[in-house]
Amino acid sequence: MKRHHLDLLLYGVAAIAIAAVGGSMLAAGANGLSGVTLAVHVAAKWLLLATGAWLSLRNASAMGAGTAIGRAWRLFGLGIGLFFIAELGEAFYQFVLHTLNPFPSVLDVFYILAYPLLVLGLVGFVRAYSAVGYPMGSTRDTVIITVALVAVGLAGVWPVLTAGDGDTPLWEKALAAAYPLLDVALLVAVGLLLRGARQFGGGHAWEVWAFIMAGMVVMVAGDFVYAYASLNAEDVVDPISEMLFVASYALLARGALRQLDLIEA
Amino acid sequence: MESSSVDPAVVIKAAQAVLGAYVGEKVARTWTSEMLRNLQIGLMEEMSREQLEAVLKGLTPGLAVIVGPAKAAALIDEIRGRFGPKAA
Repeated sequence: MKRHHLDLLLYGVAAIAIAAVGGSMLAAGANGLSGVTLAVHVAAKWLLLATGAWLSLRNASAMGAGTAIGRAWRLFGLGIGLFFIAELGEAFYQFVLHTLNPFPSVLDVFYILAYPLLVLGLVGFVRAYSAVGYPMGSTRDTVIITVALVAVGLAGVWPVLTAGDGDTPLWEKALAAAYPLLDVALLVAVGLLLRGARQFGGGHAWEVWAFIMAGMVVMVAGDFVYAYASLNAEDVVDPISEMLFVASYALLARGALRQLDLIEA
Repeated sequence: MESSSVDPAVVIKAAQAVLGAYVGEKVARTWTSEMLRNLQIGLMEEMSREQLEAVLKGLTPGLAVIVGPAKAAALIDEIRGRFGPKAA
């Protein structure tokens, strides 16, 4: 398949999934996804995540497995790959067992492990660029960005962290808190990358990072919406967060594809 | 026979033309100027082919993290090609 066609496929799949979920919301309200709409949506997430992981690993290989930038792409691709495995598991619950995956479940292992890989991948990009001489920001900037984003992130996730009744086991509370905290870590890594990547404005390199960073921010937004929806304790697949996840996966795959374009085209 | 000396200003323009599409023109210009400064080559003086090779060699790692090692080598060759074959 030509890259131009793959590009169209990514946008097309994301558009169909978002339209299906949005249409379902307009018709039936935000009562959760089910039936054909959910099946279309799940298939779209699989395709986008699998493509994103595959393209990232191809970038890793083309950049050189032993290089810092190659290692960063591999970590990033493995992170997306873990999301793919977790989404496969979610679908097993939804379509085979006809229930939502319980919390906590074995799928949380994949979701939780994906975050450090993505964060290490993003930090790896910054370090690889810095190592060859690109100015990626001073230590002072790093501290300011980290403190500011952690403060904003914690303020946003505080209601989620403090939710739950007193009977909830401590480890379950810790697991529930881990998601928003890992989101904050992801935001910090995106902030650090944005500071350095801005210098490539006007060049194709900027496009790669613009897609990747937009994908990450939309993913974190999806996590926040999901977390707030979960506070209402409704056992449904939240349509708004799901649309954000599809958009995020499409942007991440698009960024990886743009990088492959730069390497091979 | 090609001249064995090269104008540094032309090197900057060539790097900007070839690399600008990838890293942005500003980065390409700043980056090449810095490389010349590190090699203590003034903009008003001519540089040798050996110095040109040193500049191109210096640009390669930064380009390789953006486009991969194979394409980086091809783009560096493209810049080199703008200055004709090396004089014997």
